[in-house]
This record gives sequence, structure tokens and C-alpha cells, in this order.
Amino acid sequence: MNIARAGLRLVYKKKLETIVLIILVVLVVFQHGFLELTRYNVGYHIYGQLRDEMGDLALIVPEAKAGEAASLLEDLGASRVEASTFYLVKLSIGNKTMLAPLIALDELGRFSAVAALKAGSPPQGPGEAGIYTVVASGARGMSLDWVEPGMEAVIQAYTPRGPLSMSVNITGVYKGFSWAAGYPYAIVLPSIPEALVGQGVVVVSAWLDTGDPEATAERLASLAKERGIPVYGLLVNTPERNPIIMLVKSAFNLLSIPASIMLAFAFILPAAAGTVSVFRDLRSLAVLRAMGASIAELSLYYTLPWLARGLIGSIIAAVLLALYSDDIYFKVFVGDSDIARAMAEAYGFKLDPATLLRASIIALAMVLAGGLVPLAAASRVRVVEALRSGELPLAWIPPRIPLPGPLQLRSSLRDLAARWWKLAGMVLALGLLWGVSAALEMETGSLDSIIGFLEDEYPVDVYAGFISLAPQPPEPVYSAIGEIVAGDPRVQGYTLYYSESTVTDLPRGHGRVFMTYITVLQGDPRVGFPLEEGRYPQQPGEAAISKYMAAYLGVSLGDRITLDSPVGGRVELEVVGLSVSMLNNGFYVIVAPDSGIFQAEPGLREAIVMIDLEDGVDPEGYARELKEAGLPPYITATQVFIREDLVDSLRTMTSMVRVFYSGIALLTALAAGIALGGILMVDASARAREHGVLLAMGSGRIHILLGYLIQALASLATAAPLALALGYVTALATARGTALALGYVPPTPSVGALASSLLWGSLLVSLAIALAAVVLHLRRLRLSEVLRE
Amino acid sequence: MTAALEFDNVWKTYKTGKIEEEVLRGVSFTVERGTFTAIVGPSGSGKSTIIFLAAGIDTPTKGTVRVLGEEISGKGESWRRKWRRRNIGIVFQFFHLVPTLTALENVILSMELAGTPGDRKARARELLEFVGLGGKEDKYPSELSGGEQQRVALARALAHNPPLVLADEPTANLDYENKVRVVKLLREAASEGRTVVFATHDPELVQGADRIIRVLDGRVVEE
Repeated sequence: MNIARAGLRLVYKKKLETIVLIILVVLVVFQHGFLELTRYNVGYHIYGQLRDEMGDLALIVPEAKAGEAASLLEDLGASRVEASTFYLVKLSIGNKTMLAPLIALDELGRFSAVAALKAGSPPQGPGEAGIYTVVASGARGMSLDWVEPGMEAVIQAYTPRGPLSMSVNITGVYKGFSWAAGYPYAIVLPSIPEALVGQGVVVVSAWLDTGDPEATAERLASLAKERGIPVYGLLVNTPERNPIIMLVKSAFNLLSIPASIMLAFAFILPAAAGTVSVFRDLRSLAVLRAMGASIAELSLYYTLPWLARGLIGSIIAAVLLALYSDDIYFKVFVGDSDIARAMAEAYGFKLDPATLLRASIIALAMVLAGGLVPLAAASRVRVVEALRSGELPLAWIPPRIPLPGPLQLRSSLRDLAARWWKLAGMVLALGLLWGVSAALEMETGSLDSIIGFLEDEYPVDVYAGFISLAPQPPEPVYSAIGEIVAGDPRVQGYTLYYSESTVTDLPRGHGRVFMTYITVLQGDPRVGFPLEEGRYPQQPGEAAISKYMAAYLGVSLGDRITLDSPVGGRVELEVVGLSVSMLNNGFYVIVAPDSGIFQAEPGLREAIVMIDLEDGVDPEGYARELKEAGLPPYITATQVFIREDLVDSLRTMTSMVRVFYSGIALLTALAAGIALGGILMVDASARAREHGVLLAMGSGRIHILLGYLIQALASLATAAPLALALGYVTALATARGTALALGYVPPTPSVGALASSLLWGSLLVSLAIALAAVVLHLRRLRLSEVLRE
Repeated sequence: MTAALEFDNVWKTYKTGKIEEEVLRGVSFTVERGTFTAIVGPSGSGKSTIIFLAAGIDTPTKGTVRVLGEEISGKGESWRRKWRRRNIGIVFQFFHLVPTLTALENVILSMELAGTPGDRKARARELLEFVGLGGKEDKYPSELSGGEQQRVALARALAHNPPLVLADEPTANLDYENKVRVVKLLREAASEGRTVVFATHDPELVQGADRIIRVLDGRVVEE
């Protein structure tokens, strides 16, 4: 037990080693734990709110069929059924026109369980309206943050009796956490105008006390078909199949995958610094061995202190997580303080104990594994030699390669070769740091390649989505749009298609994604979905898929894949073509129009067109015209954008990715700096006598520091291949992990990725910390004491 | 001509935690140039401290240390370091060779630091021959015996031709044969006009010294 006591005393006696490992463990455990807790809570909050708002499943039907849909759900065993009605209208505020759901004030709470009046007052009478916007709705200029009370708005709707238009005065601005019927904003009236009643779309929500929502949804789809209820959408809300949770969790991988790599630092520091300390304390160790200490007893001396330090670090990190993660979460991920408060009150922040423990346990396991390395070194010490020698031994005799330059430089390089544990520790730390930065370059490089493809090769100039304001349009939307586009001499080519999205389990264990099924209804499919290989589907059972999805799944032409269908059940498809498209979240499948897998009639209420314009035609002018003129009154554009907009939004996304990664790279640089600093500091204290002699002979501290700088640079050069490999693996894992949110583009390994400015910034941070540790040691060095020893 | 080494009422106190230890208590003595001087005393008497103060590695708490006509005790660390490179050769009890430099390179190192002109490699070989290590130039310290390592350390101390050579217990870790050999070499170094001051607790080694300074409990008790 005395050895255990002596080992634990090292925690106090070797204060710097203790402080360094504790800081490192706190850093890696806190950031990893925080991201995991956030991921858990985001999922929990989204699911909780959605369940409050839309139940376990929701059927979207025309208002006239709401009653039938509700009875159907009750028949299927729903314990509670509620209906929320909204009306799709064209909304104009200032010079902005957009499609928005119109809802009654008393329905607002059902569209967003967490909402607050941010400005003005609630609308009270005819001619007054409120605007609801979701927090963080900035994507593609969809934010309505500029709207204030006092502004005028024009609402245009379509009824069987013809178009309806009314002006309203905006009295209040509401903000909430959820999208309203799939839109980031809504116009809120005290009551629905009489002319519109009966023309809306109803979300019939059902809460199930028992039963599986997915199985119920399948029965619901077939029964609705049998009873002739037109289904505009069928949403199933389970934590596992909620598309929003899936998207958010996928986006989180952008941070959490590179961040997880940082946990490895918890191994590197005890392994490298611990081994250095074995050689530093060689004679005490030899004495212990001479006295008959066993390996188990040695582990109490050489592994226990690291484990104790790791434990202290983990406890501190867990306490910090428990105290501060909710504050950081609400500040960073919710932002708006009113909404954050409302959300905290409604749902709280769960400190999931399993999540909390996982990061600590992983870090401790890493520390323990790291602590076993010095134990292995300690068990191999040659007792007699160690007791007779006054020098710090070398692991092996360095090669006698004549090197140019001053002897101190030669000595530094040979020292690095002779003490492999230091080299290994530094190479691993630098490799991890470099690898994370390189992964960023490879990831953003892939996104840049998509931007390049869109700018230089992709033919589509204008993208426009359309929807019918009337639940039963007089003419299918796609044919009305087709007539407009097909006869226009400015149009060189177009693809008119219909799409539905669903959550699907991918084949071959590739997980679950949110995927889009597409069917081309009119025009030339090569405009919107240029083929790279094969052909387009001609009959049910055939599919052309994105080439990136094919890469993700590892399938090629002729392979068969099985996916979930929007109407429920699985569908088997033969891959007959590979295409590339701007729809590159990478998960789309083009099927034949008669494939029978769509919930709604393709193109009846919704359609999308992608247009290649003749040279010289201004895409912006054309898009404006398409949005505002020539459409039948019951059709409105959902979103229209030009290639430039898409490229801009991708650039914004690339910048965001860069910012996120820069944050991770900075944290990694800190962790690497602490690990390197710890290794060098312990090494410097082990070589104190060597440094003392050099100083006694008239060498400067700066020369010793330069020696360490040379060692760090040599380690960096050695770390390059590791960094490249690790960077590629990280980028690949991140690309796969974030495929759903950002699109899957396989990264390309590139040596150029090792030379980014971010990398050099991170390296500078870590090297500065590491060299500062050596400076600290040299300043504390008492020359006459070390020379006397 | 000025003395090689003058200690005038030198005090040195070391502080470890809250404990203060007076290692030297008013030491005064003078060593003339070109002499072979031994500082003798039991362990803990202050011999090593005198060597370190003479080398400018450490500074006195009180009093004056003058070396080769320069008062070094009041000078800053950077000055002392540069001065030491050129003027002092030093041999330690535990040899303290740089483990990743060969014997030849360890000898060249002191010339490199002092900026000694000429063919350094040739001089280093010559010195290794002088200390009886011809043919072992390319050995690393770990491949040499204790006696051999100490002779490399001696060659290193002489390489840049310093006017003052200081040795702290240079024979403490050597067998009898090597002890005699090292003392003989030190003696020869002094006969070339250098001043050699060495600290030892071994009475046998001081017999050939020109002068003996006895130290006890931080005081000079006999000259």
C-alpha cells in the first residue's frame, strides 16, 4: 500500500504534470460531453415539441375531408385527435412576395408550442394581422426579421369563386421555435375570412397511447386511399424517424466527429509524458525493482497517478457540464432569450446521465491505456545498469549519420531518434491536430468542387417550385407550368418534375436518411439530372440515383437497392442510371411516373421546374417574371431562385463549415499544445542535467529552446503522412456523418490540404503553448542544484 | 599580474521551501595564476559551491568573486554565460557529457560555443589522444566506461584553451587507476600555464597540488 500511497503523492508532488493532464481531460471531456448532451437535448426538444404540436402522426388533407380523416384516426385507436387548419396564401409585405400559411390566432399555439409575442400587440379585429417567424430562419433570404408592427401586408388567396385579396395592418410580431406547416413564417389573423372557410388544408393530428405510429401510418395510408380521402402528406413522429431530428443530428456530426478525435489526446499525454518520466525517475524505479516490486505494484506507481489525474479532470468536467451546459446550449443554439426561456420552462435541459458519463469513461479509458505505456517501459528497466549509471539512458544508440550544422542541432535530432516515446507522442499529437485541419480542407474542397460544378458545368439557370392554392386545382400544376415554359423561346431546355421525401433505412446497413423520390413529368431530364452513367428509369422497379448516393452505398449500375417508400413499405429498385444534380444532399432517386410509390398524384398540386436558358437571357429577370406573371390565379411559386443564389447559399454553407471547423481546430490546437507542452516539459525536466551542463558551458537558454523547436519541427515533418491519412479518414467519416444535412461528397485526399492557413494557425497555437512550457521549465531550472545531483 | 581567483568574504545561502541553509560563511582566499590548486573538505563543506561561484554558474548571496581580474559576482547571467564560454573549462563529478554527441563531438562542442578559431576537429582529436582515447572518437558516452567519460569531459574542458579550469570532484566516481590518470592530466594541464582549481574530498589526490585550501562547514579553515 505504501507504493500506492507514493504513487498518489506524485499527483501532488508533480504539480505541473497533474495540472496539464487535468486541463487536457477537462477540455476534451467538456467539449465532447457538451456536444453529445446538446445533440441529445436537440433531439429531445424537437421530438417533444413536435409531439405536442402534431402528435404521433399527422394526416394532411383538404379542409372538406378533415372530419372523415379524424374519424379514420379514431377508428385506428388514437387516444386524442386534433385538427389545425391553415390556408396557403400569397403574402406581400413591402416589395417581398412569398407563399405563407394563413392561420387563426387561436391555432398559433398548435403550430408552435414555444412562441412569444416579440413586438406590438395581438391582432384583434378585421384588417389586423400578426406575423409569426421561426427563430434562425435566415436561409435563402427567408427571414422576416425586418417586418415591424405598423407595416401593411397584402394577402392573396384563391377560392372556387375566384381570387381573393385583402390588405391588413401588422400589429404584432411573434417568434417561435417551430416551422408553421413547413414554412418559416405565417400570417396570423384573429379569425379566418368567411370566403376562405372550406378551402384550407387541415393537419389532423393523432396521439396514440398504444401502438406503433409507423404501423398505424401504413394502415392509415391504405384506408385513406380506400375511402377516397386525398392525402397531401402523412407525417410520422418518432424520435428515430423524425426527419428534423435526423437532419440536426447529422449536422451535429460536423462538430462531433472531429471533436471526438480530441479524446485521443487523453491517451497521448500519459503515454508519452509518463514514459519520459520513467526514464527521469529511472534510479528510483530501479530501487523499487531491486526491492522486489512486482509489475502490479509498479502500476500503482506509474499508472495510478495518471488515472487519479484523469479522474479529477473527468469529475471537474462533469461538474462543469452539469452547471453550465444548459446555459451554453440555450445561448448558442436558441439565441433568442424569450424563446430560450420559454423552451427551458416547457422542456428543460436534460442532463442525460449516460451521455454525461460516456465522455468521462472514454477519457478515463484513454488515460488508463496511456498510463499502461510507461508501465510497460518501467517493467523493462535494467536494474543494475540504472543503479550504476548517472546519465539519462537512451532507448537505443542513435545512428552515426553525419549531419551538417551546429552540434546542438545534431544533438537535438539524435535525441529525438534515441527517445522514441517522445517522438511518438509528438508525432501523434501533431498528426491529430494536423489531421483535423486537413479534414477541413478536404471537406470544404469537396464543397468547392460542387460549387465549381454548378458554376461551370450544370446547365440549370433557374429553379422554381409551384403549388396550387386550391386544394383541388382545375388543372394539374405541372401541365399549367409546362405550357408556360415549353413555348418560351428563351428556354433552351427544362426538366419538370414532382418529388416526395421520406425517411428511409438504407440498404447494407448504411443507416437511415431523409430521401427524395423524384419523377420527371415533362421536358428533358438531362437538364436537371444530367446522367453520368446508364439511362433514366422507364418502368416501375427502375431508378436512376445520385452518383454520390451510389458512392455512399457502394452500389453501381445493375445493383438492386431496397428503400422505404413514401406510401409505406419497402420498394426494391434496380439502379439503371447515375446522375448529378443540384439536389445534392445526395439522397435522391429518380423513378418512373407510374412507379406507384407517391402518396399524392404526381404534379397535381405541386411541381418543380429546372430551366436552362438560352445564352444572353438574364436569369434574374426571367425568374422574376416566372414568379410574378403569367401564372393561373390558383398557382403560386413556393420558391424561385437562380444558379447564383444556389452558389451563394453553398458558399455561405462552406463558410459556416469553415467557421465550425475553425472552432474545432482551435480547441484541437489547445489540446495538442497542452499535450505537446506536457511531453516537452516532462522531457525537459528529465534532461535537466543535460541542459545544466550546456548552460554551464556557456550555451544560452535560447539554444536549448531552439533544440526543442527543431524537435517539434522534425516531429511535424514525420507527422505529415499520418496527418494526411488521418485527415482523409476524418473527412470521410465527417462527410458520411453529415451527408444528410450537408450532402455527401466523398473527400479527395490532397497533399495541398496539409498547407492551409488554418493549419498553420493551429500549429502556431500548439507550438507556442509547447515551447512556453519549455521556457517555463528553463526559467525554473536551478543550475547549481541540477549539476550537483 | 592579477590573481586567477579571488574570494572576498563570500557568503552563500540556499533556500529550499522554508528552510535556509548557509553553505558558505565568509569565505576569502586567493589563487594565483598558473597554479594547480586543490580545495579539500568533506561532503557538504561547500567545495562544489566554491567551484560553481568561480565558474559564474551561481552568484554569492554576499561578498565578491573576482576571476581573472573581472568581478563576476555583480554581473548579469547573460554576461557571465558569454564570459564563461571563453574563460572557463569545467569538469563535473558525474561527467555530464551530452549523451547524443560522440566523444569527438562533445569535445568540439565547447570550441563551438567559445567560437574557437582553427581546425576544431583536429584539435579535438589531438586532445582525445592526449587523454588516451585515440580511436574512441566516434563512441557515444553510453559506449564508454566511467573513466573514459571523465577523460572526454577533461578534453572538453581544455578544448577551447581556457585560462582557468575548474573541476568538481572529478575523480569521485572513478577507480584508483583512473583517479591517478585524471589527476595527472589535470596536473599536465596546469603545467601548460593554465590555472587549475579542483575540489576533492580524497586526501591522496592533493599531494601534488601547488596549494591546498581546506574548507569545513562553509569556512576556509586552512590555506
